[in-house]
Amino acid sequence: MLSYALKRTGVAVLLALCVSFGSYMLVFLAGDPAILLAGETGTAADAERIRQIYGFDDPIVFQYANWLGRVLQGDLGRSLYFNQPVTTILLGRIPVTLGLGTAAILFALALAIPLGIAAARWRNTIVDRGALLIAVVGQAMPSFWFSLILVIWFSVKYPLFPTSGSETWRHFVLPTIVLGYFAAPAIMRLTRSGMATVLDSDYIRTARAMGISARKIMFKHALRNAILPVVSLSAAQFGYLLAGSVVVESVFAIHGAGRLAWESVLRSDLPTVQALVLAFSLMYILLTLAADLVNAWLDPRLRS
Amino acid sequence: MSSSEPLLDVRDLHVDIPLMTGVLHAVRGISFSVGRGETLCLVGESGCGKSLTALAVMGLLPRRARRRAAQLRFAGQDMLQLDTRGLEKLRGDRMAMIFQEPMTSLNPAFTIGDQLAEVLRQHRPVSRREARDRAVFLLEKVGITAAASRLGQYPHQLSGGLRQRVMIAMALMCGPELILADEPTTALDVTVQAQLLHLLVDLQREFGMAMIFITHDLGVVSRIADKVAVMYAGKVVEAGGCQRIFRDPLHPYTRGLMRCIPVPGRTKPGEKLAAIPGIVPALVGEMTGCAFRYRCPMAHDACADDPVPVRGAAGEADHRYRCVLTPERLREEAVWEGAA
Amino acid sequence: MAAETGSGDPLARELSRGRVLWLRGLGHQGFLMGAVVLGVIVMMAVFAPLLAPMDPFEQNLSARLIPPVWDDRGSWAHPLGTDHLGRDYLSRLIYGAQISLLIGIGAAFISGIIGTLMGVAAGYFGGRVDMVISFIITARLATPVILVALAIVAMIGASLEIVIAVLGLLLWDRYALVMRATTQQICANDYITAAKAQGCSLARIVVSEILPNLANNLIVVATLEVANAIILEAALSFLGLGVPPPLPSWGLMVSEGKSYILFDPWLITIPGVMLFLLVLAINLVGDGIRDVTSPEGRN
Repeated sequence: MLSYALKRTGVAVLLALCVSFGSYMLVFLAGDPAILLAGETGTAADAERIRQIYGFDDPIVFQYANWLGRVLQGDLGRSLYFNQPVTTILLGRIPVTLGLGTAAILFALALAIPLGIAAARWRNTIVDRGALLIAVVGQAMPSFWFSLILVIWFSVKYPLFPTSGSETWRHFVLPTIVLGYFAAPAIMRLTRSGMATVLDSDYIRTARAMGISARKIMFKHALRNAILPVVSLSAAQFGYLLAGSVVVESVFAIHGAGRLAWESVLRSDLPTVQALVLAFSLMYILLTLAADLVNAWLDPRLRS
Repeated sequence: MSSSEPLLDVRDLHVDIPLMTGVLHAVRGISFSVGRGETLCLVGESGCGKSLTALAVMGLLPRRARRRAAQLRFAGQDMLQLDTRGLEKLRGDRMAMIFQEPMTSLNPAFTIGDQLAEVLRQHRPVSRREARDRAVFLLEKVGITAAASRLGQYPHQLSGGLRQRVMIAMALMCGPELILADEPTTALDVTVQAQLLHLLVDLQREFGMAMIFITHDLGVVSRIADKVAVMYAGKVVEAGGCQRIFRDPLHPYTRGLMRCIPVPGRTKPGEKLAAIPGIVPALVGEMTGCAFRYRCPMAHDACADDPVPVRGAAGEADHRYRCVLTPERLREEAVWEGAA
Repeated sequence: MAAETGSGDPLARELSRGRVLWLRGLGHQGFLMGAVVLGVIVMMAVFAPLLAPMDPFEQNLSARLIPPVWDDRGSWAHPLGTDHLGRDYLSRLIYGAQISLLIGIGAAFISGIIGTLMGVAAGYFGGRVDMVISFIITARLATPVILVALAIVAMIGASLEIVIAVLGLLLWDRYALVMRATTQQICANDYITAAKAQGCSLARIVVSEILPNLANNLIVVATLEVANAIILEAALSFLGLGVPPPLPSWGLMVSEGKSYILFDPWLITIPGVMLFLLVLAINLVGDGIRDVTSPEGRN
């Protein structure tokens, strides 16, 4: 268990390095980053000064190492737009997005897991069909459009929730529904197929042969086995959903990292974009790492 | 309950499986009974419906399969009238089943101890402590050393033989009156097979249980059975006392099976073992006449007629077989000579 | 259990495989519905110049924001009304099908080549190659696609081709994962070992043994990725960094309608419904192909 955990963590660190290099390289996509960083009003002299400060004349690996060194000390550079340390800005925004994401994934799990179990229990019946319908509709709905539809119905026609902002919990209801419904279908389908496979397995037949009650078989014997892959998927979906907040936060004007990302892209605020790409990737890496460790703890076959 | 009533009485049991192309009649009206403490062996090739028969008795058929029967009585209860709860009360408590696949029959997510104790606690108001003690007692009974330390282990930490022993212990947790064993040794090494077979028979005697033992291995049958039912294509073709069947097999199929057993001393090394030529007919749709006639060396026109008479061997009321030919006719012909 | 229930469908063996698939497809409601809707949208895209009543780019500022025909103020002159620049909404909608399909298919094609190559290489060679490729796939999974796509498009400029290229270069992960697993399965078969042992060349084994067996899964993943790319394009365009105006991208149309959400919500509803239907239809077809080619897959 311990060696597995260490190995898995090692892979995660390697991944983080790889991803950080990728996000660092983003700057160079624009051609000459110095000119970009200098901004539209910047002069050639400004660009030269920036080139000096950032060391753009050095070999890339060297520059990256420098940058990484600063990042590890918590220095993500200065935002061109806010003229503040990016770290400070992120610390204000990421908790909002994490809160929204947590609410959304909880909503997704509360919707997907019972539905998936019910669909597997009553396979090929109307229940199964209904669950499948909810899933395919969820997979086909563009989240920005679903957001606007919810706004049309629940903010404009029936003003139950505010259209935009992030001041009260009411501001988070609609975005939570959108993001949760975005993450739910995959979880639902995996729960269903996992439960269906497990319910047909020999050990469930054994449990039935021993007279274990149907409830216990469903929620103890079957679910415990079927939930393992769902844990991994849920973590991945959580990660995607955080990245998906770029769209949803923009629609609902929520003051989080997603909206900041969009605005920074529009403002060509590269240091902030770079930091956000890194932040979203790291959150995904940490989430999947946590899921793998939880799985190793849940699954006795991995534990030993 | 009258003492003469058998423990389990099955009359005209059918199992149908609807498929896209028609209905598969896997079990086609079989009847048998088992008395207390008795061992009945169901014998036949794979696909003859013997496993489905056992699952049908337990109410454990796959979802698509349909069961119907004229009678299904266990210990004086009409099992056809039982609802799910009633069935759950019976299973694991008074009747239990052991399966063919020891590698996959235990839940990988729970310890041996948990799984054993759960069975007892499901059926009896006992404490954890008591359930645990019973588990240790039975694990020792089935020949597992250091039983107490095994309780915390998971199935994947045990070999196939050990897992099957755990399965047997689990089946015995509540002291059932009837055990159904579906080829419990087939998946194991030959040496382990023999050990487990002895163990099962010993335990059966010690606990005074009845047993339905399903196998394709006539060698095993001759050692453990009180009664034998030979199945072919979803029907019992011959049934009777174990000694009768082995001494005086009548149905051409039974006689064919007997020929396939290698006999120490008589079967020469390197000699080709006998086999019954042909394959089991498809069981989809209706079928008239004797299903074995396509492979039977004595088949003739009358075999295609329905119904195939069920005859008794002279003087032996409970030795019956399903064939148009009389015992005398069947005995006089050396049906399988040269057939292989 | 398999031995007891016989080998599935005895009749099925008598029909040719193609015919069985066809029959199963016709019996699969979801597949049928998806295929019909998808067919209609594809026709819309192909015959857009014939079907569209007006020029989708022609502005008419005196006829702005006319509601659709079912509204009291609507008329048959513009069955789905006009947008904020007075362009005929129905015509823009019909031409929009071209953009969605073009981007979906283009991106799925590019990512399909990348992902399949990576997946097959990882599955075939195993060992270190597999380790490295798997690591790259994981790294890709950790990348926030929307944000990176936004950033790239913002830096190198928005155009139809750029959007196709960026999405194509980003969405290969599922291909790679599925193709890797499938290739591993195929390579575990005896006939591949036999082919290797006989000294067949790598190219020959891949082309004649592996690729044909990948086809089913490849088609299924490809449909999912087409749908995925269409949704992403719409999202990018909605955020203003996808297909540039005045092209009639459905995502862009929703975005342009956003300012009129209070009084003219149909500007948002109509293109959104089209996006939804298209993606739904593609997903249903993909699910259908998977169910039909491997009935064991579901259940």
